[in-house]
Amino acid sequence: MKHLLSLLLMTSALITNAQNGVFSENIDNAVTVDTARYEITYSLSYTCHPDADVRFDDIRTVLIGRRHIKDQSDIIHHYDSLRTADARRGADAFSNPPGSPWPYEILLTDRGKNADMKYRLPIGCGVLHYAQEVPALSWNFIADTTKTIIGYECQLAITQFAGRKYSAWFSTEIPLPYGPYKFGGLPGLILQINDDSKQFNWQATALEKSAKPICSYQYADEKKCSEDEADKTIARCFNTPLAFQLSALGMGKGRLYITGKDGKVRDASECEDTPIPYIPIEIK
Amino acid sequence: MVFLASQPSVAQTILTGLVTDSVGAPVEFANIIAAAADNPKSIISSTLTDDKGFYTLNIKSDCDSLMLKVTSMEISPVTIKTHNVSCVCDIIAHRNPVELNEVIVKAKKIYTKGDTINYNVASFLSQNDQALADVLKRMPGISVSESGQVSYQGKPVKNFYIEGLDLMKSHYGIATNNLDPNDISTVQVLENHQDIKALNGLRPEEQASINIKLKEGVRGVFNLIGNIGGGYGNTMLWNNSLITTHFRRNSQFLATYKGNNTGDDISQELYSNDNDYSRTSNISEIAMPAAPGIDKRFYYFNRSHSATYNNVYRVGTAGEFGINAAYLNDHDDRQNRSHSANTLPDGSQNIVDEVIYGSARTDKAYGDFSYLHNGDRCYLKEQVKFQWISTDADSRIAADNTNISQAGKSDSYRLVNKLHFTRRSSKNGGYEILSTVNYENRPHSLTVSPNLFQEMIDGDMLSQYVDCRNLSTDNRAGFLSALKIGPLALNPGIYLNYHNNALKSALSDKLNNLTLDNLSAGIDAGVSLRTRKLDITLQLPVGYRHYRHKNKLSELTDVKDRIHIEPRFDMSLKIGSRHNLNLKSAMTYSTPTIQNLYSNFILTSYRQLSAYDIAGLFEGLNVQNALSYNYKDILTMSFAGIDLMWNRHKPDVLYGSYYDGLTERIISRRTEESGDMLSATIRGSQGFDWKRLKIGLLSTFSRYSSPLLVQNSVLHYTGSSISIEGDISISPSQWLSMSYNGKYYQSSSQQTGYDRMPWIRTMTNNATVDINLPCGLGLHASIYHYYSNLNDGDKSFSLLNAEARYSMKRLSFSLACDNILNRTTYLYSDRSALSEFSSAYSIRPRSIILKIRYRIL
Repeated sequence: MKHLLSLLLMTSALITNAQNGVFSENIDNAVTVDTARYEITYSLSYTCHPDADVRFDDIRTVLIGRRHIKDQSDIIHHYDSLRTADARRGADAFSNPPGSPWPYEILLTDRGKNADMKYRLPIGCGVLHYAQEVPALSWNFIADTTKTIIGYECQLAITQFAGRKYSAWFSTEIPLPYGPYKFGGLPGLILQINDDSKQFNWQATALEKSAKPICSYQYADEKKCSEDEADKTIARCFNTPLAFQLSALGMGKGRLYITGKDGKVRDASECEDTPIPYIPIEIK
Repeated sequence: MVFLASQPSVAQTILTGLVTDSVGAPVEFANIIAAAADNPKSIISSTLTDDKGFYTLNIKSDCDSLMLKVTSMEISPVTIKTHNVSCVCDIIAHRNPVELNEVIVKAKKIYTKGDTINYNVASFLSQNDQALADVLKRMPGISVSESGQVSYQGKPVKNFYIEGLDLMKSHYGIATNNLDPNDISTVQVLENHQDIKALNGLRPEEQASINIKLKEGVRGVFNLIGNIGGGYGNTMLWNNSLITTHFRRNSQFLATYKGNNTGDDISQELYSNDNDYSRTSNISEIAMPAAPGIDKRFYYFNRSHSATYNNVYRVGTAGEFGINAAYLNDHDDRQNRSHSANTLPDGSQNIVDEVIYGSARTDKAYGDFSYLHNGDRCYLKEQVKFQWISTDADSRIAADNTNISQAGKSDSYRLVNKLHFTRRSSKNGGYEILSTVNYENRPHSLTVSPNLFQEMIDGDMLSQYVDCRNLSTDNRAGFLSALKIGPLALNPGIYLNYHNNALKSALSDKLNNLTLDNLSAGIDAGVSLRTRKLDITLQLPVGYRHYRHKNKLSELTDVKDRIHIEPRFDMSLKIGSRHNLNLKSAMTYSTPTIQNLYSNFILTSYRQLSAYDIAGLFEGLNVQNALSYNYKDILTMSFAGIDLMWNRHKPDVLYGSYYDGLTERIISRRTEESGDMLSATIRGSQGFDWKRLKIGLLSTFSRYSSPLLVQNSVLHYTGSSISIEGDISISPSQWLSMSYNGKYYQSSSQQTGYDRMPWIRTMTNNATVDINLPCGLGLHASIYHYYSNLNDGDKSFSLLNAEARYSMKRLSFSLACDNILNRTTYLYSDRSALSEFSSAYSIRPRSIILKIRYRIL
């Protein structure tokens, strides 16, 4: 029933070309892999396609430990945390993250050489779990460029990564060779980075010392897969969103009806499945 | 080939080497940055050392020499110069962790974890904040009263923890007004925090609690901060304090001494923030000038000293033993000129003009000893509290061409024992016992010369002695959940309360000697329905009440027996994580009090005489209904709420006044009338990342109608009031911060059959500016503005204060000038019900004081 209601609500989002919302998960099953020394908060502005009108905002937390770096959505984590507290009190229905936070959760191991990736599929269709190798990035330093971000003087460097050209502002005042997502290898913390099509833009908003545990969460509806399978599944989410959600939730003809913009009620399987324009972050 | 040949040839240099620390251990994961020696800011190339400290750096540059810089969070940066040729270049660095510049670190202001909302103190802190209360006021959703009481979403917090320990108990105002905010890393609001572990998951907790998380370097360190201040303002001024703290894992300690004659009211932070009210009250009072509605430090001519001692120890894994004690000595001198007008049934007014010079000396001491065991299955809290308050006051009054002198002394002794025991035997089963034993004695005396009531009491002078006493015990025992079917639970309990009150008084030949016994016993049947979103509780206490009133002089005894049902209904609906709806409804009977049962005269003030003609065991009926909606969104730092309230009061007996020129008699009469009060409050609080902006708003509209007994006639009056309160704080830059809070209030009342009285409109504005200059210098200025349309002549009144501060390491100096405009008199007007009051109040003159603050340890 929970899924049915949510899918009905999501229908309007599909029509307006928006990214789909995700559900909160229980984070009781956690393994602490490291302790964070620093916590950096980024505001992420992104869109599914460079030509799309609608942009989405997320708050990303990057926890930097001795050997592990974790990048996760603060909004999703906030609602996961609420859900877990509610579940401990015996709840059976939960609040979900508002808006469209970026559904990637990245745990970099071996000081950024490998990535343990999790992608939260829309409306509770599960969490994809796959592993990736992170290539060492080759940066070109742009001379005589300075900019101050949250009080730190930054310099500009550019790189090519997975089919996109990125411009990164980093600060040697903070000698941490990391940044958001899989970016790193610069002689200072990346405080702002964007791709040249402006599809993704991270901007640091906060930096603090931390002693929080860096946890690897095991979600109840996690699906372990290869990198290729994950890419194809995520692509299907956008290319045939309705069919993907119906199949993922195990629904067929006559099980779900959708009220269209014209006010008419139709069987979901007979509705036109409009693709959501999408270019992944890693184009390959 | 031609193209390639035309390109300038750039040599490739390969530098390799090992980075070690001073003892030869490899420095892993350090940054190696290469730049041209003549332009060291332009990075040419960079790399990282591996696990063994080795690095390889490829450089494409035709410069002659290179600057190599090695950086890491673990070492001090090392810069060396080398020729731009391939070579092995080993580097030695010194281990020295890099400290991030705290000033420019922008941490997340508010974040949540489960039901805990975390406020990052550094994000709200201003350089001039000296107490935790200063920074709490800037946090959206939190407000702090003058006494240091903390409220979250408009409701006072239940518990105030420091690092998870309840050091202060109900006297946490001492902590909020004295803890150094620079020692605190996080303020946590624990929503739905059930402090009794044995009730976790069984009984929801509506009130939030607060936990203070200290910074790393503060735990386990003994802190001692001293303030010494001296100055002049018509007399020599002093303001000194000593605050010592020691917060350890298994014990905490906070002790303070404060003393001043500069108008700082140190008695407020000693107030208890629980609902443990006193069962007796003073019947006679020494008339002192009524407090005007301005900040107390402007009119408080004081000499005050206070000392507090607070200690808590962990006992085992789940136990705590705590001691809280305090002593206050206060001397308060006040003077004013006032004009009181009371509207009489015929529309005329009874007017009294008074000039009062009053002086009061107060001694207060309290001590709380508590033991707490808070286990998963068993909860025990045993608390013994004592309190002593002694007030010695005298005043000279010139009223209606009569010179009057009065003197009085009041003592109050109180001893309370509170026991709370909870035992949980299964998931839903268990029992709970609560017991309170209270003993109070309040002897007080009043002497007035001349006697203004010679037609009723003989003698040129009145001398009176009154003694009130209370011995009471309130006990309740109940099952946590006797029967549970799905979300429904039955929570039955029994209660047994006994109160013995005694009153003795002697005013010339007018004597009173009476007792009032009140025994109540019954069944407290409760049904609750709990789901994740909905929580409904219906309590139906059915009880027997027995009253016995005995006049020991006339040997007359009055007995009354009653059976009452006093239903209470609570509903809480949680809509998502952001919305919450609460509905409360209760019907209660007010019990007779011994203060309204004496039949011979008691002088309640120098010009007010009281005796109750209708001295019976009457009970009034009260119905209270409240609906509140709360909204919060942590991600956007938004807090808002609406409160609607309707109360109906149906007294059996009306108490009122009979005015006769200067004198007034308390009178009473049976009634069938009732009074209603309706109020609506809208509150909101919004925090912003931008410039640390916080905006708060509170607006209340209330309407009331009530019967009033004046000159033996029952009048009916209606009234309405609107108040709008707002506060803004902002830090446009690191060197400037500003705050403003203001309140607008208007009210009017109307006697049935007469025209509405003119609106009274008052406004209070307070703005502060803090400028932080380099080298530890700071300037602070504040302006207070008060407006009342009821004042004759000058309707506006402004006070200006300024302060310069200088800080260096452990020491800080401040030079403050209060009341720069040297205003000497404040005109104050007020109107309530059908009474009007105006006074000219003496305020503290211009003063200059130099304070030195030193962190001794």
